[in-house]
Amino acid sequence: MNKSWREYLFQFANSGTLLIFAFLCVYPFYFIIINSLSHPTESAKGVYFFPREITLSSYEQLMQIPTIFQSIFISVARTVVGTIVTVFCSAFVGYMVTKKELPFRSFIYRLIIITMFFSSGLIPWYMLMKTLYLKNNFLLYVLPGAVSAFFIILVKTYIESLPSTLEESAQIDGAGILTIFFKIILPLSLPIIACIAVFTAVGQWNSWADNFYLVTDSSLNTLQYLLYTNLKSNMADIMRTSASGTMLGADLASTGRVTPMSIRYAITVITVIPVMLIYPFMQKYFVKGIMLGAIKG
Amino acid sequence: MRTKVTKGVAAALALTLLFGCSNGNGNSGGSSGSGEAGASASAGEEKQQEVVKIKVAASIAAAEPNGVMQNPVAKTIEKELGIQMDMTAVGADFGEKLNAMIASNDLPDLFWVPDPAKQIPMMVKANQLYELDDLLAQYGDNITSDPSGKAMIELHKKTLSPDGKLYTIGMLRGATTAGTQPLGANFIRWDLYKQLGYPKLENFDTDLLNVLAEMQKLEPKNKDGQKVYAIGGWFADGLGWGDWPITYTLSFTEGKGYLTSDRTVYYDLATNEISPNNDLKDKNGMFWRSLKFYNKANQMGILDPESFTQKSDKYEEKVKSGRYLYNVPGWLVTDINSHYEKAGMPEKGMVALPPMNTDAFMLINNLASGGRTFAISKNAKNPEKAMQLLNWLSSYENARTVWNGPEGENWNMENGKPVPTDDYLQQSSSDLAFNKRTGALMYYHFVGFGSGTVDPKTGVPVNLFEWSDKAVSRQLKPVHQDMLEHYKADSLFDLYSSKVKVYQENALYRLGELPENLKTQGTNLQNYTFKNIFNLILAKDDAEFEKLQNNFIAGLDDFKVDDIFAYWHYKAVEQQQELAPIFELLKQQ
Amino acid sequence: MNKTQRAGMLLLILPFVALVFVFNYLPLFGWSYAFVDYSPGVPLMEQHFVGFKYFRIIFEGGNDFAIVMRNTLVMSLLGLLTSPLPMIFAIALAEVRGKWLSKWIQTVTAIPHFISWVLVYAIFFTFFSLEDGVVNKLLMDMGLIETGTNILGSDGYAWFFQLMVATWKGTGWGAIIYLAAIAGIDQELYQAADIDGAGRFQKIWYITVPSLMPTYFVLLLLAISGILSNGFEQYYVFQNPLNIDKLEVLDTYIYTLGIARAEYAFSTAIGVFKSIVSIVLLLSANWLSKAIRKQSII
Repeated sequence: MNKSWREYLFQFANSGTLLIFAFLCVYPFYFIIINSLSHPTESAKGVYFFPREITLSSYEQLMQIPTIFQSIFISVARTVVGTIVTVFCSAFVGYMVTKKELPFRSFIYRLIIITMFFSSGLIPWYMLMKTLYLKNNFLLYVLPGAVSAFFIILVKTYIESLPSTLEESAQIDGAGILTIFFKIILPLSLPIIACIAVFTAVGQWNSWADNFYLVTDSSLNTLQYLLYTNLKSNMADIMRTSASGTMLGADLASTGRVTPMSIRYAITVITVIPVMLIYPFMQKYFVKGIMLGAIKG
Repeated sequence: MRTKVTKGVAAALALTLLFGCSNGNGNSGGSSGSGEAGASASAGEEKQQEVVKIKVAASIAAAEPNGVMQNPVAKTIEKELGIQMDMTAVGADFGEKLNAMIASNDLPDLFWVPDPAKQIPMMVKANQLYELDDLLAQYGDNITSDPSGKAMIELHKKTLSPDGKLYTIGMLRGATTAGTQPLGANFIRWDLYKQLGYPKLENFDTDLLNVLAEMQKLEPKNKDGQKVYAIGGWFADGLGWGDWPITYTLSFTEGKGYLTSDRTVYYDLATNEISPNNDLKDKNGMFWRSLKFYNKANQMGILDPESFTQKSDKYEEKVKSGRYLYNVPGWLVTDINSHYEKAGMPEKGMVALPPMNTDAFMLINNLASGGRTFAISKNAKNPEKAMQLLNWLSSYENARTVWNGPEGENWNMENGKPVPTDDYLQQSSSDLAFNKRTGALMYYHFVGFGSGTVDPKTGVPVNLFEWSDKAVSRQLKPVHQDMLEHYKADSLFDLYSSKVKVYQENALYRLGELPENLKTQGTNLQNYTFKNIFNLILAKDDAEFEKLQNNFIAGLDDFKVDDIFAYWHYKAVEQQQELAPIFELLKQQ
Repeated sequence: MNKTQRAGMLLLILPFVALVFVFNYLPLFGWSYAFVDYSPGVPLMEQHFVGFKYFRIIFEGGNDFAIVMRNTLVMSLLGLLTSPLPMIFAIALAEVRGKWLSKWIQTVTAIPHFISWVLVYAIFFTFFSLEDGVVNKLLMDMGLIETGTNILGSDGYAWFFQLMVATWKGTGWGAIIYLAAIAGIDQELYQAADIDGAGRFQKIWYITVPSLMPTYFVLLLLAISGILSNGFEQYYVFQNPLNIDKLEVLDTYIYTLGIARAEYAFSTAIGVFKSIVSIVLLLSANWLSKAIRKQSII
């Protein structure tokens, strides 16, 4: 029939375009994987389809970094704890600011939102963290990001799109704010919660700057930080910090050998694969089709 | 649902508290060493076995995690000095972090200062550093009795200290190489040059270019069929690095060194004179000769067009796979030559050309001020111990231990000369397990003497891995032998030094910053130069080059370049006179 | 709701507001450093006051500064023009029949987001390089071009190319928000539309898109207020002598100035300047939205 012919064509065109784009996205990663497994000299010649002279030496070298296993534990811990804390705080605050009965609602909301648009600079931040005893303290990974303005906006926007009748009928039944939040709003907001969880988790997993500035205790290092510091710095930065016009600069540059590409590739693989593995578990929340009608009853 | 969420939140809070408590109390804040040992140290001069912890921030090999180090060198220090080094490893990005630490007075006891010109005055003003004159007199005999140490002290007082008192100690003094290979020079594929029958090569402006063009015709493709160019660059790496090979190294080969990064003033190693002309305006000066070199190379088709879009890591990859026939950074050459060996072509290799028609050549760099500057903060409870540590690191014997590990493991004394074991020379310097096990190459950014500094007692440089006779002869490839024969020289050092008057450069000048009214122009001038260098190189013919050159020079006046030059020149001459006694001290041995 | 209950609500939210205040507003004292010749350890009152000296530095670049601003605004504008792309992508993805297919595409298109810019450049270099690049080789083999194109060094195509790169890197990841929003749309709306005989595109236009509009406008607003920030890393890695006139943006320009000057007050002044511009843009865009759509975004 007419309809199914058009339907088929649409699916073909739509999926086809999406697949082309998907291929353009996945091939570079595949490229990185096969190059991380190939011997550097082969890689220099150009490895595009299959790894040549397969070697795990890049990965071995990374695994030999002292305390790397401890750092994996820390990274996982901060990701899990940080995500739970941030998701809860942001969802709760996001919900509260939708309640018109909240005193100073508008003021509080704006107070929080504006924080996305200014930054105070590195040194005040450092001094603040030091004053709060957050140096060399696991909490430094969790507290600063706990209440995220951006996520609050997302949650608020999402909740506001839910029919207000839900809350009203619950209130008539005598439910308190917390009950409504946990029993009604949260279950219905799973898509946006999952979205925030993914963003937070990725942010936690990839972050290293707080580690760099505020932690000297090796047992608190994260995986990303160790990998980053193992990347012998970009030569350009080394040269800039010295008098490049003389041999002094050259000397400093010569001792900061640039990391070979194979190591960089291996680092990317190690940090991306865990995310790729967890992500599908969150996807089920992005499935279309929450039957609000069913919950209404 | 609610119970699940509550459980989750409760779990999170519990975990957080767990981590928070255990780690929070452990190492909060950054102030100095362990409490228990501190008290005993003050009574400790007699009880030398009391161990004191010092918090150190320096660049070290990544073989051990931060904290008290356990490798043999660290253990030796602990045994001999009663000092445990609680180390935090830092890298080239330490500058920003140090700024933050300065602002919150959170400094370690003993630490490297990446940007002494800016950071030392800040710390002195905030009264955060110990004055070192007295400490040095009491505990720094190794430093004060050695000419390099004396020179360093004077130099620091004059050029780094805001008030003439000593606040810093420069480590890594002395030479970075032992004179068998310059750090930056004209390295070429000697085997191809031999194949051509050693044509005339007496200057770089025309001869070198012609030779390179012929060499490219001989080998247009490398072993894997990839295109070969004579010259390559890494111009896509920004200001300060992308243009480094273009304007600096050719000057080195003729013994001229720029004193400022805007390339206006240079000094001549041979005559020790400050140039009277603004090099950016002098059409016969080094700046324009270097630019013409690259422009001609481009016109002749021997400059890789990808130089403009590639970064230095790509350049390294290419030069190590044999795709360039000319190279500037000396530190890549060992790898380049071993590549040819591994590929079964040992007769191929790169060597540095000897000085051509010049009285001076930058062969050895004597870092008189020290390659790394260290300071002791007032947070240190035992500043005298920190000074003792620096002093210990400043004896030639101990420097040798730090570079190579304790005696008996990687090296032994034979007939009064230290000789490395064959095993040691086979190791890879970046093998972390090896570093940790033997202590070799762990602290070489923290030690008193640079790699190529010669120990006057034994006549052997401190870094046996690179510069001992055994190591050097291992690096002597057929191409080196051939070159020595061709120039009738006895050794590489002889080849590079015998024909010139001066081959040692003492990096003494530190001209500071431009005054307020010229600062912005100075920055803009550097950007202007950087951008135009590449346009000049891309000029399609000599006529266009000349036109662009004139435009460039005319445009310089927008940046008050005459005032800038006048200021630098004046400062340089002034400093030359001030530092004259130090020059004397460090005269070429 | 009575007063006690409302006070209770305020109490509930207070700890979180406190957190926001501590971590975001307290450090603002640091802005004072932009107005002095900063010396650490010296109390603020005793610092040497210099007014707007450090603010003026960026503007003193003369012609350079004009070029930088032009580049920055062009790239931001191009970004704004293509901002609906993640939304369109999400809608298209939601229409895909096969569940496994759509899940796979979704996961995979997010990958570019995770590849660091340094690596992105290295990979692009490998593919687009003049001599060895696969793209050039393929195009030449297919007879489409005579000699290799140097797109990485191209001055004319620089903006377009960077736009393509940014789209490649950000679309898959940016679509996540929209996918979450789509998942929250009440299915009954679609069912009702089906009954009324609506076709696919009508359903999208009349149901899906309006439901996504609030989210879209929030993100648009954020993008507008961030007009001066293009993302340092992307432009830093793709810059080279051949395209620098087109790709020098404010963030990289400030970085270059900062290296030469290395003064704390300078970088703080930049932070203050950008923050103020952001807020002004935010308020203006919000006011515009109120005037046109009769709805404020924040």
